[in-house]
Amino acid sequence: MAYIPPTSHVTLLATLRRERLLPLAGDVTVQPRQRVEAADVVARTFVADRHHLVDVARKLGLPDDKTDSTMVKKDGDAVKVGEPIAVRKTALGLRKLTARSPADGKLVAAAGGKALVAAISKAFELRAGIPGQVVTILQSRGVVIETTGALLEGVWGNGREDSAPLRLLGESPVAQLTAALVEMGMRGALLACGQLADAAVLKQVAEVHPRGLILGGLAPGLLAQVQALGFPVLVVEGFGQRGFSAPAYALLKSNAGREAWLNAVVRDRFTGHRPELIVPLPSPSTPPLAPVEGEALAIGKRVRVLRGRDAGKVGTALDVNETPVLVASGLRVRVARVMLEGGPAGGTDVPVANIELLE
Amino acid sequence: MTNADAPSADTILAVDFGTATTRVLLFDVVADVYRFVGYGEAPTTVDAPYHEASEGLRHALAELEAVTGRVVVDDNARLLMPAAPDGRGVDSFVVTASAGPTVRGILVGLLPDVSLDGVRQIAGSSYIAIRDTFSLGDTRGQDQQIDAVIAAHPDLIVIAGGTDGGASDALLKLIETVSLACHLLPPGNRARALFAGNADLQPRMQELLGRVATVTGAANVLPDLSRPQLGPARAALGQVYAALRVEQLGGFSDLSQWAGGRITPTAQAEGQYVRYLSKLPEGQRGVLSVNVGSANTSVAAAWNGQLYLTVRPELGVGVAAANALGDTPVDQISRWLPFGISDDDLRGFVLNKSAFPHTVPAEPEDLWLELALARQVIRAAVRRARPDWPENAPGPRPELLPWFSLILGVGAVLGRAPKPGLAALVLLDALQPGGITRLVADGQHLAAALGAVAYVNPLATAQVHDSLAFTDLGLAVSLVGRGRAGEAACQVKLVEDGGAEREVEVAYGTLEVLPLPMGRSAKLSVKPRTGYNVGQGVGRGRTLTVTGGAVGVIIDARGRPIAFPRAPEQRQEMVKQWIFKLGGG
Repeated sequence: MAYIPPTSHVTLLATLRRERLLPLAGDVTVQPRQRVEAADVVARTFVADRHHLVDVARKLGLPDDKTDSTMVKKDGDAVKVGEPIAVRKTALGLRKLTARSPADGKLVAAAGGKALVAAISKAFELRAGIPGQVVTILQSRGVVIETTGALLEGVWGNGREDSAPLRLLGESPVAQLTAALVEMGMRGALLACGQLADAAVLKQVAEVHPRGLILGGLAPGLLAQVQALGFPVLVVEGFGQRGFSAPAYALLKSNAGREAWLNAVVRDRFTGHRPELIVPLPSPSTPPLAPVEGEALAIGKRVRVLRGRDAGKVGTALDVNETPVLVASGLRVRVARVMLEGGPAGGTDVPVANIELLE
Repeated sequence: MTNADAPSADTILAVDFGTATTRVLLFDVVADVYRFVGYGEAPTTVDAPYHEASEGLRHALAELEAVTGRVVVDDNARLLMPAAPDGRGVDSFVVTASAGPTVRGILVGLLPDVSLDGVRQIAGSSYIAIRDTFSLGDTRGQDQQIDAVIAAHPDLIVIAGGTDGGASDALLKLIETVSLACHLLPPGNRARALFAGNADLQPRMQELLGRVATVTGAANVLPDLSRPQLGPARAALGQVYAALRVEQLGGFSDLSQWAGGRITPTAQAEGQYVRYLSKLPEGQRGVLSVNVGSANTSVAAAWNGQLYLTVRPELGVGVAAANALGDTPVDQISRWLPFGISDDDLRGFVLNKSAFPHTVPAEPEDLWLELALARQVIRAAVRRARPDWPENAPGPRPELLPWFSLILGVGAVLGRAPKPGLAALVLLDALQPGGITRLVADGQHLAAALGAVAYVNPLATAQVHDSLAFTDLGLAVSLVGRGRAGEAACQVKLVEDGGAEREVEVAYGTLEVLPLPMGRSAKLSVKPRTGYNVGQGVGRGRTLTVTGGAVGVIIDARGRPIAFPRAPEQRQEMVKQWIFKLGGG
């Protein structure tokens, strides 16, 4: 029976489509088929910093159900701090009681004697992230952009994104990011290095203000610090002493110096969102294929080992067992024979569950 | 068997959609009684890129057909129902599920210790990650509460408050706040709300929340102050949860139709089975079940038909393994290992397990790590469940586990352990039961299947249970008490039917196993030394007839709670000994 392992993409050139979505409904500012650059705003909305509930009835000295006619702002109106949102003239018109907006923003709703004001300091602007063509407009929500380029998917991201030129540090896929490699010229770049294990070096990196960090492996003890950083961090292979796989390193090396988009989104298995690096590249006359997913494990497929002593190694499937076999842990599992880089000539048996396809 | 007990010719297919694995179990009538006929599994496909549950189901059914030789789907991979006279197809179809994205919930109640506690208990029995709670005890301003609801972005709102006919204004004010906040949530994700409070407020609740959420009413969790009743609200919540999943998960709408509109949360189905077991003689002193999944861990405890069900969402040994690190210091995990490991390497193992949840241990060290993680996940889940158990549940001491006659370990990490002794050891280490307990492993999720089957065919549940379809690990005799390492803790004598006899003295701090082949009967006499309790009272012994299991009879004299030597080498040697004794080395 076919076994369908998960797929990770380390693709030198593919046609890529990416959804860019607003956190709340808003306005899409581009047209279908429009060309956009990475920094272009494609949609805009207003996200409240916080909400204020104004007790209009109390301020105007009225029962809760008698304030509707006093409102001078209606739902959705922009308001300025101190601006009246409801006004009541007292008997004989001698005195004016006023309920004012506590913040700049928008009157969200008014009912039952209360008004809800959303405090909004600035508009939320959604940028394209990648240069390309707008292929779909998602009404009030965002767009789908198509581009061509290299794609490197990772396993962990800290939830941030940015674009900048890519810079590869160290001389090998397993190079440690050390103090000696960090210098001020890195400011504004996306830095890539095999491994990071030193908290002091991480602090030093943060101080030079890069636009992002791409690591093969991250020391688990640094996870909390990396989560708190103000720039995106992508972990490509996993946690602990892992460097980049050979294909990932080759992709980074061949694209060093190019403008890239690091979208270190938090991985979501349900939606399929994965942290990734995209390096936009000119499209050849025949557009490259889109990345494939959901292929069965078969002889000749390029695979990466995810667990065990060969974790992180890349190889080619030589055979896939149909019947479970006994492995050293005592489990009976299906295995695939894989010719690993630097591995024994006849190949190494790896449980199929511990393999992913590398496309 | 009487005619009344005779089964109708029903072939029953049970499907469980777990976070990582879709399982299918086939039950059929063999020689006039229901039997567990076969099992198949495949990776669950509700997530990207498939977003379609039937894809994984198709693969699982293909495996079932290959294993059993039975045909259950047609050439277009559609389920054949009802069964044809030639035996193809199935007559009944039941579905349980724990798969899907995290369900974010908020709880609303009046008094923190009363109605809010009630909704916490019912929400805690389902796969709901509680993001915030709102009650009269909340010191936040109304605008802060609005921001809190927006931040929580609830899929589900569970509300209780007020006795039937009692005061209502304060609750309505809270609901107004929640309603206002829900109005501000992004469109397209309409929340579901369950109201299980003052019955008089049902129409008002619909009025206030109906525009922003789909509201379902349930019987009040507190109809009057002296009479909490959680059962009906818990059942209603199960239905609301299932309806949410039907909306969210591709293919669930069709599955629900095939299953007669009923999709049962896996934990609830398992709870149903545990409740049934607790009414049988073998569950006389209580039944405990722990289901260690990839993303969730559930604990079901029942005494005499009274069920206490707790789910720890976002805590498991796969997708949610990383959350164990926030719950447990790493040295609590590494203490169960027979080798040394740095804290950082252990954290790395757990984080990588979370990143690659479907992977399996290929080397022994990797297996010990996975089982050590499972122990702590179970301990964390039971720690959460304990406060809801009855205070008068009989047990040795309040800080220890109550007595249980039967402990069921569910999930691949237990049911698929390479040696049954390892599954038994994980259960003993993690739960540290006292007294005389039968240990059972359920790697195929039979418990959930039988719980779901019980809703449509209780006879099938009873008969499959009697057919010993589970992996009976054996009987554990666990001594509660403290002594000096190496000092005699008890005398045990096992006389097999047929005469073979074995007598051992078990020292404090050790584990012993008396082999007794699966199904063979024997007479077991346990005589604890002064100061030790095997569930009969301190120093009191017991003689009973026992049957053998996959491991035998285990005598656990390690003390409760288990104490570990400070020196790492000594501790690792001790753990190695335990593994060796239980045949896992």
